[in-house]
Amino acid sequence: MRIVIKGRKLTAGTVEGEALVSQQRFCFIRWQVDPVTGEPTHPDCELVGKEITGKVLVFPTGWATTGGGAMLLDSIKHGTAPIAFVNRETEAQYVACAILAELLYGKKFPIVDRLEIDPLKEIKTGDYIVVDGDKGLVEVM
Amino acid sequence: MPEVDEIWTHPEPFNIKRKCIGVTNCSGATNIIEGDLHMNLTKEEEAILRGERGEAQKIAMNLLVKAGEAIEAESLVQVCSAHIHPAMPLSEYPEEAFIDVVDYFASLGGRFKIITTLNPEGCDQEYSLPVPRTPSYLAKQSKLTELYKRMGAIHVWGCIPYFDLNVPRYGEHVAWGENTAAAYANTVLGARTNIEPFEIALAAALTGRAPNCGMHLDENRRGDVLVSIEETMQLESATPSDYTLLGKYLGNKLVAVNSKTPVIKGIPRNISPESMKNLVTCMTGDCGAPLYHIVGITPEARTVEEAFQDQTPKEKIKADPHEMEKLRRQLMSFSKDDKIDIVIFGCPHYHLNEIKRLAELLKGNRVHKDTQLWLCTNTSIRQQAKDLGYVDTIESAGGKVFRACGYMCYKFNPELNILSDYAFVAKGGKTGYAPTDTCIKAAIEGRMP
Repeated sequence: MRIVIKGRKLTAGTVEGEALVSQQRFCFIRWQVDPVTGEPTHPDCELVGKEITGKVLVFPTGWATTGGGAMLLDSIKHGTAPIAFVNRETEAQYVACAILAELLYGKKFPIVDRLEIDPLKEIKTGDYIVVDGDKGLVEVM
Repeated sequence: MPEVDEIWTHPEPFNIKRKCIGVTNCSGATNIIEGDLHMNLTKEEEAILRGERGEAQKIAMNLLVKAGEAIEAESLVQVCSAHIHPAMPLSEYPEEAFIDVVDYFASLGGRFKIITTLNPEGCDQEYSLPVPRTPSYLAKQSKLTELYKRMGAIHVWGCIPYFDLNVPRYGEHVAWGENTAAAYANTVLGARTNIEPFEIALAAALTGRAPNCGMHLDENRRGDVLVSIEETMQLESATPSDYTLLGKYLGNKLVAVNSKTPVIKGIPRNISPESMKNLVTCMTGDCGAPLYHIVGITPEARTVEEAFQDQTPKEKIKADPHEMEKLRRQLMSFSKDDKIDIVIFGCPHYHLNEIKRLAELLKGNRVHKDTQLWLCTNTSIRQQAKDLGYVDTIESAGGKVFRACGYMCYKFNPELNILSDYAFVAKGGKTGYAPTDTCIKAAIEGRMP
């Protein structure tokens, strides 16, 4: 079954790939995401040891930090980042960081949040999904 | 203990999976705003967005508007100062994206429009310490320092900018990045700031604007949980070091009840500036709230009722001296005669009064040959301490006074026994907490007294 969920478009670009879902809040600093391997290393993180590189990361929201966006940007620059975010509620730092990723490295990083259906219930890890940041759509294949 | 530069192990060089494409021209970038906005902007803000004030301000304004819209800011607010974190390389990896961002804005001709201070550097460039750094780290640090300088930042380099050149007044809006500094600005000065991420603080420094939401608005500054401090805590005789413990204890308690804007009753009105700093900093380290109403001290919390804007507290809790003592025992993790490798003062940075007290305690003594004593503070406080002779007293006793980040000192070698009079970063185990005079004794004897 293929469904299309409408959400709020935050940053531009369309990508497709496998979903990796965290029911827990996600933060690049708190979960000590290793910029070389693209793996969260903190033992309290639900995704500890899982590679987030190349995945569409689906998580509720983050934590307010001063350097979380900079760390995501580092991962984007070095090619170890996820390819998009789908959130219940996205934080300002990640929006700013996605814009900078395009300006500095020519890489688009679409973010869509506030979906009509809760993405944490509808999307499962391993689902193949399309994130359209230009239209604000998430398609689950 | 080996010399510090022998014990620092260099991490593996960055393994770059894919090569980066490099800086691109912004024309044609799809995230640049062209269509309709949800946000209300002034004529000047629109002019900035159109690029009439230069490319750097244009891009910065784009970040503020797009990120601000995401978090429901209906407008931007004029801010009179900014404080940016990070101002140090965050790793030993050769290329860091955030330095590219600073470089990008500097090359576009970006200049800070408002008072802008920076968090500490990663090491004291004079000593290349406390944490020994590789040449590539030092090269990154000096590049970053030069870029910030070129854009017009004030060179205080510290996490306590509110004691000198960046002191907003009651009711003023600012955009501060360091979480503990932002909490101090809201709590003690009565200024208004969110804990701004790096990108937003930088954009605010360039444009003099920040998204108008969160702590900038009255309704979000209303207290939620009331914490009463009992008299048995005997805060009248508490030292600045005791206040770090109280801060950590309250921070833990507040995070357990999920308080966003706590109201704290029972802090003496004559609390010293350094104790105030320690209390707010250590609470923020654990709780993360951007504002603590301290009744009688916070300008908008002259009374409990005012702090709650005449509404009922969601919850009332009490600070219990027994619980705090339990935490003190947990954090005092060393036993008598345990070897102490490093004694650290100054995370958050030491105030001049604290340096004075330390110099008095150290006078005529000698730090043990197998133990190091490090004190971290910012550029201007170190200069004052030098002028007053405190730095000479401490250094002739065998200690070192650094202009660098104290927090980094804890992280550089997990094998060493580190003691501090700050509960802020003490975790128990190999990073222990003890009162200032005990720390000094340990530094002199080389062992836990």
